[in-house]
Amino acid sequence: MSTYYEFFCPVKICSGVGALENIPSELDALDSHRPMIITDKGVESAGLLKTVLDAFADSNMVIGAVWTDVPPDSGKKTVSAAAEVYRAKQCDALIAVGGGSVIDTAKGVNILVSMGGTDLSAYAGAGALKKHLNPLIIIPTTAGTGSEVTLVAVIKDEELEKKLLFVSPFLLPNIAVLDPRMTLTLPPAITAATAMDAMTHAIEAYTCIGKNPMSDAYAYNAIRLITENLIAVIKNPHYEQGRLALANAATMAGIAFSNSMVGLVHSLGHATGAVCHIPHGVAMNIFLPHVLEYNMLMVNNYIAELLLPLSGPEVTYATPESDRALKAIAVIRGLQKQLYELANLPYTLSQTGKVSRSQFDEIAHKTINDASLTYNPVEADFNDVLMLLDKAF
Amino acid sequence: MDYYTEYPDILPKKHTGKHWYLRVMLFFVGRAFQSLWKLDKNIQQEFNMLPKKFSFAITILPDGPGVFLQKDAQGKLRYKGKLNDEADVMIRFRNIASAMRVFTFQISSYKAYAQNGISVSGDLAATMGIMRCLNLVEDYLLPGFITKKILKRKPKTPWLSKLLKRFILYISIIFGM
Repeated sequence: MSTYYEFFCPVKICSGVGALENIPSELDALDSHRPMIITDKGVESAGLLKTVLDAFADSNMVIGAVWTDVPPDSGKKTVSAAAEVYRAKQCDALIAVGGGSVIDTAKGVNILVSMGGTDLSAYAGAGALKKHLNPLIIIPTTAGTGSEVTLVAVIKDEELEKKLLFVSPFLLPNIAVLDPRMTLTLPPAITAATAMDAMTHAIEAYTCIGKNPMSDAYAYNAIRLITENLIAVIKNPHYEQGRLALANAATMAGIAFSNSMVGLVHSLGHATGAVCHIPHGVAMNIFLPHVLEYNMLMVNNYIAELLLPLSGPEVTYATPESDRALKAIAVIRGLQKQLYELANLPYTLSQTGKVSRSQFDEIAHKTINDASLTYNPVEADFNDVLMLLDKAF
Repeated sequence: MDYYTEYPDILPKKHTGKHWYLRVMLFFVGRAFQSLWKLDKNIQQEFNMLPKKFSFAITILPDGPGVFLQKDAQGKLRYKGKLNDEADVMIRFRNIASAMRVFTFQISSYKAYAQNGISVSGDLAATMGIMRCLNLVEDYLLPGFITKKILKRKPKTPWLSKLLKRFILYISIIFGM
């Protein structure tokens, strides 16, 4: 456990059935009356944009503009174009409705419209923003990334063909709105993958070297909420309370990892995603148990503590203390098998059909150069990563 | 009433001893990087992957001692003392206290990073390479009972080879070779 830690999360969470209807009064409290909505075509066609717009009925707000052109892998050009509309329509707040790409785009737009200028690159890196930005409300439509409570945005520079990283506490939104209506239509495979992404955020936050008592509390309860609700939601996608529990868990896991960071599972996931284009949540699901086994030597006690939120008191107290870490990993493997049967979520690299052994060297190189590795309790070298890839294949 | 007399400005005190200690430690680290670039093939490989003229610096905020290293035109790593130039990768200790905890070996540089005692700017992949080299530098410079405490993983160098290289390293540091 750290001898010193810092914890920061000033985001107001509005969570529950009907949370959307409170957005107008929240905007009013922020002295904003002309918000711009940023979203994508998928959200629009799923009818979620209409649900959000309906929530403004009878309010004193004017929706200044609705931007639905966010691509899956958003970049600087999208951000600049949206910022131009925001300025032209004299909007005074942003509402992001969507997943990671939409949220990062809205954060980028907020940088430009608040700080001025047209070149987003000028604000890249850590600590480049020196003042509060315009009001931003985030309505996530997946329960996984936790982007609604993280101080990071990743936006592609199309010309330089590289991803720009923006890190600042000013990127945090004013409000995150978690309404179960926003995730009710998520297909089972995406529900499973995003939930396992959140599960990985929480488990890595709890077991890596940045762990601290505050983030532990969020991580521990996020794991409990996911294990208690994920299978029920996959079996019954319209189970509203279960959907809300997963949304809460994803946000809690986001708060946890935003303050204690993640480790080797994410390094492997980032690298495999970059080389083989595997969705992030799928990669997290595949690598999680392998990395926990690998880290057991250093953090056996922390993994053992997770058996309780993963499987409940009966299993935990029937398991000798010395076996609890292994049992916790076995429970995760059991969950993986269920998710494969119910939602076809792959739990090996070969099941994805996108990875070949010839790509292992490239993945391993990228993994050992990924910054998340710094926070892993065991320092993995090139050969260790190859061994883990082999196991996960 | 003369407020300036009644309520005088209080200037923060300077820890001159700590400044000098850190200056010496950073001098050793800087020279060790330069020497080990020639002695250790792992360090050489890491720097060979970085572009020519690549530079990195370790500094202590707000205006503490620092160290600046740069690859020259031939690709050799050169110790340049403390420069105020912005390097390609900047590793900044948040204050003297956080640097002291690392350089008195109370915590590892990883732990200091996790506790926000160190901030990094620049290419992240290059930074990871430098952190791996820093591990090797610490392993050569420090006795085993300290590295056991501060390194997540001890490099596997045969003991005789390490002893020999360590001897050459100390000579090189003194003479700046």
